[in-house]
Amino acid sequence: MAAPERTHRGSGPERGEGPDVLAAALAGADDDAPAFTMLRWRGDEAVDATWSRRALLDAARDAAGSITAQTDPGDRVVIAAPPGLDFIAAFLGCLGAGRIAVPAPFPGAARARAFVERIAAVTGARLVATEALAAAPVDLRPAAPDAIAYLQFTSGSTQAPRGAAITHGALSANLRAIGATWDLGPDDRGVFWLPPFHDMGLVGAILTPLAFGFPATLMHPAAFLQKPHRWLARIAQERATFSGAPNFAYDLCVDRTTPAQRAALDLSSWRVAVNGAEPVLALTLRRFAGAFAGAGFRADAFAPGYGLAETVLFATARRRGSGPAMSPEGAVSCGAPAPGTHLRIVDEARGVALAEGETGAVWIAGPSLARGYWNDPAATADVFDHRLPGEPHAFLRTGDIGRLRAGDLFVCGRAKDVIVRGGRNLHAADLEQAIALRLGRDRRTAAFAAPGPAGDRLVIVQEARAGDDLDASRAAIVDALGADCDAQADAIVFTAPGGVPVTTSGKVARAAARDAWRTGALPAPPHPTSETAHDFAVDVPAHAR
Amino acid sequence: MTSPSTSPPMPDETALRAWIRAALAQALSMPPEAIDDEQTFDAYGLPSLEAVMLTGDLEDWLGRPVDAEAALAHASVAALARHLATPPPAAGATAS
Repeated sequence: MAAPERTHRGSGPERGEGPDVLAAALAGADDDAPAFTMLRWRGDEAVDATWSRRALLDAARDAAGSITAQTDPGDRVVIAAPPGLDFIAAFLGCLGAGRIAVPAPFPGAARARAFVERIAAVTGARLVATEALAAAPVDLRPAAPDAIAYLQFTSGSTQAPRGAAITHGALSANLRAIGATWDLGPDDRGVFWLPPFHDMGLVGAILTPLAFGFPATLMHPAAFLQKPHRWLARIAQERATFSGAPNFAYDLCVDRTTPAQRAALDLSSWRVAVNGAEPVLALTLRRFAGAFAGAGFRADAFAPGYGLAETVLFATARRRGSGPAMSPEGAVSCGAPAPGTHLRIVDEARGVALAEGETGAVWIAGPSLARGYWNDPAATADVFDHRLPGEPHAFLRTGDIGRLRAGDLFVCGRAKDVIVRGGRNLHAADLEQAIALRLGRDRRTAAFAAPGPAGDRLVIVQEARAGDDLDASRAAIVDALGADCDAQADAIVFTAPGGVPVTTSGKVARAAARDAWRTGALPAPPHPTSETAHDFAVDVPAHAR
Repeated sequence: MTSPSTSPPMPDETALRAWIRAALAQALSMPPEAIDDEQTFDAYGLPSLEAVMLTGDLEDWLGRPVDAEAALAHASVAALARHLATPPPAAGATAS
């Protein structure tokens, strides 16, 4: 029952009133206007189910009745219904019943089951809701701004999942910033396929439309992955104005639609195309804008953004209509800090803010910050409540590296993915990209730093397939690093296909790769050479280069 | 546009295996003959996202709905072909 460590953060004058999602839901009591439409696909045919605001509120009251009967105030309730209307009703019912919601994936696949069990244990949840909740309805009650509304767990972190404790006040503040930056209102219309247990799917696709009173159409993430065209076709069909997804989704739309499909689309209504939740790549924006220009897509609709679960969703973004902007080096601007958000680039070793244009750690303060991690004072102290000389704010260390240019944030990467070698910062993603260009994307690569007696050692873990000539692959890696990145590896280790761990969305999990390398848990490559994976790593002394 | 109510000719299990093997080989940049039908997609390093994408391509080829989770629940060339060759229950599966 331990609550997260309380701090004195966020009680400054900037903590303003934003739209309250419960108040917004309550305002729909007599409203037959559509709130959410859920699509289910049978082949290429979609079956719609639409709930009015009134129907949504009724279902949320039923859920609140069920939750009230089964739990006590302040209890945690895992909301793990499949993506859809029942999930939304259970989430709102939980908040309106004064319980703390824990959004989670539906525990169907083994991996999701393990994750749900884990976070149910971590939060001491009294109830795990995997389907519609219904009992004698009770009215939804607004909560105090300082009360915790929900715990946002980040994906892919099954080893030590951390739940950011989002208060009602922080949620309202972030929604207000979203609405102001993108000028959202009842005339907008959303179409999304994002999972509702991720911050972007929950806040961006569900709570934002609810708070600003416009309808949204939702589909299952798998329906999008099967056929990305479904997402775009629905935007066109509904004349939607507001949608968004992580960067990879825009690439999939280019790679997995046909010219004929693209030619039949009219995307001219799409005014805010959010790109967030993972690094925004200039090449992706260019390819998408080029491929869909003929479909009426306007490049100035792109709204790259930056945020994290610990800031509810949103910390910086390009404003509606301003379009994307690039640095001279080709990095994509993530826009200016949201209203009320203070962003500093910090030299963490010296504990001071850096000037515009300098590269350092991204720190954020403001009314949208989570209160801490649930029941995890050590992680909370590591990330939250950091101070800068002469500033009244309590800052969050985001763990990202970036720089400011003309007030806009440019993110360089995760601090833990930066390898410091001879006073230079090497970015793991750049190294992996250089190697992938030589060896192919189908063989995964992890680049990471391992602490050595003379500073960081650069370790490359490379997947190899049966029949690969490992000596040739090793030479290609050495050449890629040297020629493209001016870098040398201390260890190049081969492993079997699948040996480089990835997150559920297929991104390289570098920390997990480092753990596997350190503990000798990497599976051997199909035809090990005389230098087996672990021997090579041990044989190369850190100071040898 | 295909309608789920029509019944296009159904490839048999051997044809299904060949198609899935070819699709997997393409995704992995491997020769199809190097793929073991009984080995799991996981063992070949196929991310779960790409397994779901494979079911979208299967829908186009078969002209009928294929459950998005099919390639995760039946995660080898042989298992997926067997699953797809088995007549679906009357209610049918959705890609939900």
